[in-house]
Amino acid sequence: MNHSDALLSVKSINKTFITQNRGTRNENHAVKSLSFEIMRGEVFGLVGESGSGKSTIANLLMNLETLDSGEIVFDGTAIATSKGIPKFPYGDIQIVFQDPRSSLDPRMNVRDIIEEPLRRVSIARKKEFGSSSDVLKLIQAVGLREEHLDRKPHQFSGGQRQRIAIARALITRPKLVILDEPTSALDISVQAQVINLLKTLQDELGLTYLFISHNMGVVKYLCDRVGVLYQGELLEVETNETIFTVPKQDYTKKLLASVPSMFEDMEE
Amino acid sequence: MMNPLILDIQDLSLSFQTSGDEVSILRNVKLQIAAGEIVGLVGESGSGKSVTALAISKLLPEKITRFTNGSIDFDGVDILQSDESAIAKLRGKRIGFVFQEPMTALNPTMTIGNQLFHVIRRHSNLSKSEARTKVRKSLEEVLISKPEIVENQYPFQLSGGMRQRVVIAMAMSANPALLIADEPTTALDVTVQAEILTLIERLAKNHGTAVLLISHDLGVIAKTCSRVTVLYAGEVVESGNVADVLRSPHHPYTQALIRSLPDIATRERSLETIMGEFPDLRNRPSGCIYAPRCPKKFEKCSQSPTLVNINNLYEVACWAEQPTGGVA
Repeated sequence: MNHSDALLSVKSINKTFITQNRGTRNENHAVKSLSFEIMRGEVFGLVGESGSGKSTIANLLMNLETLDSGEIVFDGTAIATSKGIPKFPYGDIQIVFQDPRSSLDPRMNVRDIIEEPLRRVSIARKKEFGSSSDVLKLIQAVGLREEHLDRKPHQFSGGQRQRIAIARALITRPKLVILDEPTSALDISVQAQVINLLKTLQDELGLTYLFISHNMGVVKYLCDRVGVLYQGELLEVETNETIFTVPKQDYTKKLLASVPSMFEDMEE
Repeated sequence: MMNPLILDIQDLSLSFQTSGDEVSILRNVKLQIAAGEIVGLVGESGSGKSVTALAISKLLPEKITRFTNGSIDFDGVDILQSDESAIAKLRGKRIGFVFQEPMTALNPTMTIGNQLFHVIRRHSNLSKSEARTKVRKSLEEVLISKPEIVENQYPFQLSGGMRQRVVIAMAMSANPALLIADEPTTALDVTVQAEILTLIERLAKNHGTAVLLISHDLGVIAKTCSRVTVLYAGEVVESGNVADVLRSPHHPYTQALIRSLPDIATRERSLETIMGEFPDLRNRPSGCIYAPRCPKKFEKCSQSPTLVNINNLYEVACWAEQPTGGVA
């Protein structure tokens, strides 16, 4: 992989949140001159503990927050700078959130939920994206059936709801899918089903993933390269192999040593 | 087991009565913990982990809960036969609790010192000044480095890890015989989780406290516990030493569960998935509860297996694991 293969380039971005509390001004430097690239077809993992800036980065990429400085280049075009908001490539970047109970509208049926992103894109671009007939293909691709399309979210289990959220993300044939803790709210026996589904879809559709997680086991299983975040800074970016065998930063070492393993930490 | 048993649950069955339906929640649960021992209870949501924990001190809603079988012996007290006033004396004093979310376990309008002070005064005969000293000591015991500052702080001023330390200090302040820790680190970051688990281990060792550690994270169980009991849909499927259960599980559910979890120590394997879905407890399948999802099922599985000791305190409820065909 060389640099021209980069689908996403994040160039020294900064984001500070300012809160006022009874006259005291608090500055929270959530993202500190952070840079990384995501190559086409790879699964890029971002790991870190709470407060490390994982979700702020996802929000910046989805244009839900604006940058203070720096630049985000997607597929050759700047999609976020500090000077105003350039045209956001709706549909090309999609996101799957942690908790499908709160990310699916309880009053909509599954067909409408999956189709909704299509209504967001302009008619001119609609042809590039999926169409309503794709809804059926997608619901099957995520392991559900046609009759499920007329049901409402509350009729599904947590794992099934996350499958619906994944189908909704894929309806626009996105180039990049941001997965923000996609299995953290799921039960342990369901987690594997969703991880395997994500892996299969990536292989079949040639997707690029930004996988955000605090679960190091899942990251190790799924990601090609991994970036370690600590208090808004990206400490290191390495291949999966390197980060889990010879981490360079002390924090990464501590983080990895803290993760209890089913096989290594046994009390005898 | 060298130490005396603190908790001895035998054949515990209970059900909830909801709008006419009687739903069987626990079936013949067996669980024993000796003094100083940390025993893990694992299972998915809905498997009955928390219900088991709450049943030990009868914290389940009285109107809908029916104990249908079995017994709970806590340090010589027959819990199911005791009345509410007797149980109330055990709660917080002889049985300590640590729950998942420390923010909801603490009073947001009281300083840490005052909350601990009240707990200590309630469960002891200490004078006010003695209790104040004990507050300081309790905070030191959970390795809070500046207890004199933390005492005067409110819960919102502390980090999640510090709050959980305070909750542990509170639970341990009366020196309970049993500590029930229900997902104590699930809401915490991994680096903090490691510290809290080490703290629980240390306290159990120093005070000879029996600990019931409930978790869905097998890594946490492996790091902390000596024995583990695996629950599935309200039934114990397997129970034994942690090393035995995790390295060579006998029950097909435990086997599949372990192979379905990505672990930081391994990579070159594919994740197995457990087919089918968790059973609806209102329509509990007859026979083995896991049979509908089990790849190894055979005719025998239409009957419910019982827990059978296969070796060295290792118990499993599976027909395929019983050479006698279940005559045990």
